Amino acid sequence: MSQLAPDIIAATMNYLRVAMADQFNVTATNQGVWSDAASANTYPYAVVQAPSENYDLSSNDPETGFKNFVIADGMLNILIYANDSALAYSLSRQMVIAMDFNQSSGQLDSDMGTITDVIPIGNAAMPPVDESGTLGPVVYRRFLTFGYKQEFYL
Amino acid sequence: MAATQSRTGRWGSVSVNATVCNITKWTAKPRKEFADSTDSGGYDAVTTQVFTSQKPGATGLDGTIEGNYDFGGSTDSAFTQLFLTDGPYTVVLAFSPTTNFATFPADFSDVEYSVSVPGATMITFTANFKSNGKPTYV
Repeated sequence: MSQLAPDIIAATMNYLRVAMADQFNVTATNQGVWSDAASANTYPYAVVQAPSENYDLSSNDPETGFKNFVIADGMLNILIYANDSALAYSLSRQMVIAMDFNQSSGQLDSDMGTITDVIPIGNAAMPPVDESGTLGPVVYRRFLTFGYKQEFYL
Repeated sequence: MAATQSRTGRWGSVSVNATVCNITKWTAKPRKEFADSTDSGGYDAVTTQVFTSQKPGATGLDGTIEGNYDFGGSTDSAFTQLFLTDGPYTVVLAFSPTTNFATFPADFSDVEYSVSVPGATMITFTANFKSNGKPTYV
């Protein structure tokens, strides 16, 4: 049994580095998908964030202790950075498709819990960033939003 | 790590007469009729109270199938025909591609279509069914 990632951010990075290796030019020296933009060194790249979770509680087997079974209703954001507007859009749509899992695939499971579903919610363009300062916008960004449900015990 | 115990409904499905429908929701309510029964077994000598009891009667399965009206499809558009033509029809309700909830013969007791101009919302249908015979629960 393979070792699980510590959390859904790491699990998503691990998954996308394989599933979209060609699109993000993943190599030994360029991982392509990060949790921090500062780690990136070439376009295009993606950054995974998990900004929020809401929790629903249900009961657990009392014999295992009075602990609640929790379903986390979470949000997963993935930002895509590219130096071409059409490429950014194309990558964003490909990522929506790549993030469609069979519910029991286990691909985004982590030490924090079991993922029961990941659903696409939104895909938005963010204002281009003028990195050169002289030749106009050169970095185009897409902002993807996914919802996920994750199970764990308190 | 917790063992998976719950599911979302995202992978649920419905088929009618072996044709898969494009749905947005299904609901099902197994029901059983009971007749009130009072006999000496319901009498408690300590409290001198008589407690209610009942005897089981007929059982069945009711529910609804909802979806977006499919102008290019067959099954979604055919619910009107399923309503007009007497069944029963074989209905399969599934929690997921690998787990069914029930398979049963059913009649469609009414079909409701919804067309809303403000907001340009989707044209939808809601078909109510009633089992006609023995359901097989998984």
